[in-house]
Parts: sequence; C-alpha cells; structure tokens
Amino acid sequence: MQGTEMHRYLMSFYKKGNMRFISHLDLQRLFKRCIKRAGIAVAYSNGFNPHEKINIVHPLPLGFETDCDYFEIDTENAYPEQQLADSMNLALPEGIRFTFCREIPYSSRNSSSVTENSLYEAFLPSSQNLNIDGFIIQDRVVILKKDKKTKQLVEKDVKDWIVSIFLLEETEEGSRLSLLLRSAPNETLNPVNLLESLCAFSGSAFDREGVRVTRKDIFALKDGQSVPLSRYYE
Amino acid sequence: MSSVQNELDRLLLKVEKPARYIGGELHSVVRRPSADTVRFAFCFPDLYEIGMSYMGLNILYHLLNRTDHTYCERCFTPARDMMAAMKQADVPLFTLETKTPLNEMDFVGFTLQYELCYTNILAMLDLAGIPALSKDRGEEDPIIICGGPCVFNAEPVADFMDVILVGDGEELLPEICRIRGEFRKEGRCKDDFYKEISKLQGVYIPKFYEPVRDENGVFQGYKKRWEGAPDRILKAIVHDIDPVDFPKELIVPLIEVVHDRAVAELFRGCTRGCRFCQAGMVYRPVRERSEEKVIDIAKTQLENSGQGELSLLSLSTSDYTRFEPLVTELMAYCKARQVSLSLPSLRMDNFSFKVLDEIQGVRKTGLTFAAEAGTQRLRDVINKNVTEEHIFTALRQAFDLGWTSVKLYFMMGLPTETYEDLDGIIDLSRRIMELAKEHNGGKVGRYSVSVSVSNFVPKPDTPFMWVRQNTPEEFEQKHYYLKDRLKKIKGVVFRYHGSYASMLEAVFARGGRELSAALLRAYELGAAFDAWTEGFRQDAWEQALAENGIDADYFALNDIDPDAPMPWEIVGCGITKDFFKEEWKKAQEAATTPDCRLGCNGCGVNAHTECRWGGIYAGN
Repeated sequence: MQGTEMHRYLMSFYKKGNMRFISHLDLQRLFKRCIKRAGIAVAYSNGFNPHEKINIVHPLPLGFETDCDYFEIDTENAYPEQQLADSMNLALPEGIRFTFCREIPYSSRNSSSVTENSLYEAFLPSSQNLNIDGFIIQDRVVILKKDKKTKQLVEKDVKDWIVSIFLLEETEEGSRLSLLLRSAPNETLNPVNLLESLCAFSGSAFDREGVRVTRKDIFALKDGQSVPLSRYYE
Repeated sequence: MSSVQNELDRLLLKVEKPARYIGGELHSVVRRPSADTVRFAFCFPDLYEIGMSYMGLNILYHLLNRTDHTYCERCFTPARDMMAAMKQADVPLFTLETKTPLNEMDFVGFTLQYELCYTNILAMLDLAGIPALSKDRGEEDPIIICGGPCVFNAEPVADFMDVILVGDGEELLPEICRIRGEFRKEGRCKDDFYKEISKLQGVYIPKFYEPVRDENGVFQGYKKRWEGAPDRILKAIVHDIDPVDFPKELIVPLIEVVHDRAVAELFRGCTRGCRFCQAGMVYRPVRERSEEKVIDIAKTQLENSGQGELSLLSLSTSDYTRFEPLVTELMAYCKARQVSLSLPSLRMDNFSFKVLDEIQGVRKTGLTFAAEAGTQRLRDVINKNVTEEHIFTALRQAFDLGWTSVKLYFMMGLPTETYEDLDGIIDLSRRIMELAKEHNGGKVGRYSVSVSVSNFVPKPDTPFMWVRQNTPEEFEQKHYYLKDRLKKIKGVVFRYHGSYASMLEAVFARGGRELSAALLRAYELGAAFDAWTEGFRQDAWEQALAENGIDADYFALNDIDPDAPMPWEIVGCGITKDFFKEEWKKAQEAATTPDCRLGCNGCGVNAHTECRWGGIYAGN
C-alpha cells in the first residue's frame, strides 16, 4: 500500500422504496460486499484490523429515502469514473443505484467536513394549514428529542439549524414541504422531529407513521455559494 | 402484492429492524407466477437473522426455483413487536419476495431444526389466518408440510402437518411439488395427492395413522386409517451428493445475520458415532462432495456475492478425505482476496495449527474443544474420541503459537454421570490454567478458559434415546457445584443453560401426538420464541402442560424399556434398533466403537444405500 498513488472518488447514489429500511451500518456493509464483488482495488487502513477506506458522507436516518446521497472510496488503482459506478451497480439490490462518479483530490479530510446543508422533501398526510412563517420566526424553535443516554425526551432549541422551510403543495391528502436544514458532521437535525413540532405549533394533526421524507441533495459552501456536493470539486 | 405493501409502509416505521420484512436481497427470486405455477412458502420458524443463516434454506430455494413448475418464496417468524403490529393492522403473514399472504400458497413448508421452535409454527399459521390443525383445513387451504432433523420424531406437531418429509429433501421436495401441480391441473382432491405421494420413500402422511393406547394411556403403536399407507417410513436418501446442484448464488442478506458468509458443504453424515449426537446418526452414511466441486462452489459463491467470509460445512471438517489439499488451496485463494476462512469443528493436529495460525494471523480467536465430558470414562461412555493427551498436546502447541483463550464445551447429565465426572471438568480447567501460567511466567495475564455446559437431551434415533434426563433440580445442583468451584480458579469463566427449557426439549424430543393440545395452549398463553432465553414463558408452559394433563416427567425423566413401542418408530433413519441397543449396552460398559472409516460397525444403513466411505481406512 505504501508508496502507491491513492485515488479518491466521490459518487452519488439514490436509495428508494423498501431500501429506505436499510440502516447506515448495513449500507456500509452492502457497499463493502459490492466493492469485493466488483473486484475494485479499494485501499485498506493500516493496523491489526485493516478496513476498507470508504465514507458515506452523511448518515441517513432509517426510513428516509434519498435521491442523492454521497459515497467516497479510496482506491489503489485509477478507474474511469463511469466504469466505477457501473461495476458497483451490478451488485446492488433494486432500489439503490450509483448515479454519478467523479475523481476528487486525495486528502486526509473527507467530504463530510465540507457539507453545509441538506435539502429534504417531506409529505405529511392529514396535516393542513401549517403556520410555517409563524413557526420559524419564533425566538426559540423547540423540538422534543430523545436523549441518547437517559432515553428521556428533552427540549432542544434548533432555530440555528433551520435555513428555510417552504410549503410546496397542500391538498386534501396533506401537505408537501421543502426543508433546507444545516447539517454538521457529527450532528443532524431529524426533520421528523421538527415537523412534529411544526404541526403542534400550527394545531394540526400529525401522523408520524405516515410521514415520508426524501433527501434531495447535500450542499457545500464553495466561494461563498451553496452548491450540491457533486459540483463542489469542479 | 400492493395491499400488503401499503400497510407495510406504515408498519415498518414502527418496528425494530424493519429490513427483516422487506426482501429484495441480491439473488432472491422475484417472479410473476402463472396460474399453473405451484407456489411454495419456505418458512423458517424463527427470526430472519437465524433462518437466513441456515444453508438448507438456500439449497431447497435454489432447487425449487430452478424447476419450471414451482416458485419458492421465503417467510420467517416476525419478532414480537411486528406480530403485534400486524395483528393490530390486520395484515396477514406474507412472503418476502412478492408480499403474497401465506394462505394463497399451495404449500407452506416449515423446517424443524430444533424442538423449541414449535410455538413459532403456530404463531405463523395464526398470523397467516390458516387453521392450525390439519383436520380443520379444507381443499382451499395451503398444504402444510415440514422437514428437517426434528421429523425423526415429528409426533408432537403431527396434528398440524399434512405432509412430513423425512430425510434428504433435494430430490424429494421438487418431485412432490411437480406431482401437486399435475394433480391440481387435473382437479384432483388433496386426499388423492396424499395417497399418491405416500408411495415415495421419505413421505409420511400423519393422518393415515392413528396412535393406539392402552387403558393407562400408554402408547402401543399405530393403527392405519388407510390400508394403502406404508407400515413404516424410511427416510429419503440422496445416494450421491456430488452431482446434486449446490447453490452458487446464495441470497445475500441486507442486514447482519448470525452467519453471513459463503458456504460450501464438504460432506453429509459423520463416521465418528458419538452416542448422544442425533445428526451423526440420522444423516448416515457419510457422503462427500468432490474436491473440485467444493472449490468451484466456494469460488463462484464468493465472486457472485462479494462476501467477506467463507465457511466449510460438515459435522467434522478434518475428516474430509482431501482435507489438506483442499484447505491449502482455499487458504491461498481467500488470502489473496481479503476473505476470511472459517473452519468449524477442526481436529487439533499439526496441520490444523498450521492452517489456523495462517488464517487467524495475529488476531487469534479462541480455540475450542468439544470435550463433552470431564473424565475419560464418561468420554468412552459417549464414544467421544478425545483424550486429555490430545487436548494438552494441542494446547502446548497453541500457547507456543500465541493463543491465549480456550473454550471448552461439556454436556451435563449424560448417562452414568457422577460428581467425579464434574470434578474432572474442574480438574481439566485448573490444569489448563496452570499450563497457561507456565507459559506466562507464573501469571494468569490475558489467558482465559471459558467453560460452557449444555444440558443433555435424549434424542430419538440415538443410542441414548431411552435414557432419562436429569431433573431441572439435578441440573441446577450440578451447575452450582461447578460454579462454586470454577470461580475459585483465576481466569476461568463459566456458562450454562436454563434447565426448564432443556426439559421441554426432551419432552418434545420423545413425546407423541398428545402434546399438540399443550402446544396450542402454550401459544394461546403467550409462549413463542422458546429457544430464546429472553421472553421465555415458563409460566405459560407449566400452565399449558398441566391443563392438558401432560406429565413432563413421564417424557423427560423416565428410563424407557428399549423393547417398548415408541411413537417415533413410525419413521426410520435406516439404522437398526439392534445397533442402537448394542451401542447402549457398550456405553454402559464404557466400551468404545471405532470410526466407521476404519471398518464397518454394522449400523444397517448400508442395507438402503451404498456406504462408499465406510471402511476406507480399514487395516490402518
């Protein structure tokens, strides 16, 4: 491994339908098998327990779909970009596909460190007349969140995490919203908790099991402008 | 398909590990079956993670889906949270592949791998809305069928089953499905079908037989309800496993399961003749797969799946005739691909150490010895061919090579066991730790010995089938005896199993059809997942047995007269009763029986098939 030139590829993928029930850890395992099956010369970390040098840029909560999440892989050989995506796709179950691949500069920091925001689309069945503007101009936007250690529901002010919320459509079936939320490497705001809080604020019904969330893309800040991560290295 | 899927979208957000219920794995088979297709739901009566680790599922799934007449899908027992959610939302149990309700299948087939899964069968039938008892089902209901090692006494579940398949299923099951398809096309009734297939070796139709009891309720034998039924059912035997198509595309689970790996079967059966071991008896004779086939299967599976681990399957890996060349080649192949190789049940000789040292490298896992009993006398009784000399020679070598942790497996409550045999376990553990200290400058350090004891369960078709089990109290006393003494030895960890569940296991291993009512009642009272320590409902079981007048002691704690008729004798594995009696006699004298590869011991299975590996080392 030493001395050889390393390559890093940034790839994007979608994950839809029943595949939204595959957890972040299981997705990592799936990609590792995929790499093995495709015979890609992935780089391994050093040490007693070498592991593949791969990175899923932002873990997606269980139950969400994504149109465009990101995956990074370090390899010992150079590959034509499209070929890398194609060979990975051969071993994927229906519902998950790589849609984009680009070689990016090799660095000790991965792309998780440059992300700014995530864009989500959410459908809330049976929720109507949502007071979005009133909700986001509050001094404090409070959600209830389960504390990882105590398992108790605790209040948390997430005002700083909200970039924007728009109503896309309201029908008899419910409301469709677009949410742009800040995302940091080690902390994310789960949109479902925020939506629950919004519905409570608006006095609207909230059907937790009926909520459908899709991540549309992940953005990074480039020269003061927010761009999709796929364009960050252009 | 869509109606179940719509409901699922809501249910799956509420339950733990929803991916257990979605299907869609690589190499799972999704088809649009035609009206003529025979539809088979392969049900494993436990969680997805357990069932997906079972190789037999992959073998039969592959063989059925290769035919042009049958479509096989999978189903597992939903965890308790999912069961509750499905009942509440009125969602019927469905197949993973097409989300079809189980009651729309032609066959619902269960594999019976251990007795403590029986309540899960009832849970699955209940969730599917299928009547549990065969007599309550009509022409429109699916045919409930089962197979697996427990069918060597399937009587406790016989009233729930329409068809029981005994022995190797690779040839028999596709044939039965084919016949079903033809009979259905011709509009013939289920009974005609049962009569037709009962002519095939290995097919047991329980409703053709009625148990006869004397005035005290003691089992006397069976009376045939249909004269055409065979007197006794001999297991189906695949005479040569080499040409049988073994799957090269295993279903690759999307979530972590117990054994998540590529698997090639080396051989079926075992020649060692351990007297407590049912698998070693009922899967006779030994039938090996050729070295070329095993290598081809292993490599193709790894290439097709991208799995990071390869395991070789058999009851005693080192006994494979071409073991060294095979392992040498696979080791090199795996090493080049960062695949780990796992070799279960190895005999600890020089070659094994070379192999283990190479495949485990610097990160050595524990070294396991299934000594089974604490003294040479008791090991001779059970015909377990391991001596202390073997163990200590191996351990010296292991400690030199850098191993630090040793696992010892024992069985408690074996026939003729006394506290001297328990002292043997303590003594062995102490001497292993002393040897470890010698290697470590007088200190225990990182060295550890883990002692695990399981409870002996008498199983049908073994020389110990007539022997009483220890009472739960006897087991507990023995556990405490060991625990008190082993905890004084630094570096020793002691593990044991619950004794009430072991007693239930014995009841179902040796009981008859009278148990079906108790099973139904236990399920009603909340029993399920009985093989799991957490959530085990001893209270439900005690009540269910009591209400149905079942005396557990009668089945578990009695010494049985070998000449008395037993409910399980309706099916046979091909070994003669005389052989079992002779083995039991020798056991009581602590006399051993050599490995069949050294010469035929006359078990009788060769009356039904060729025993090609028997006696191959005769004269050595």
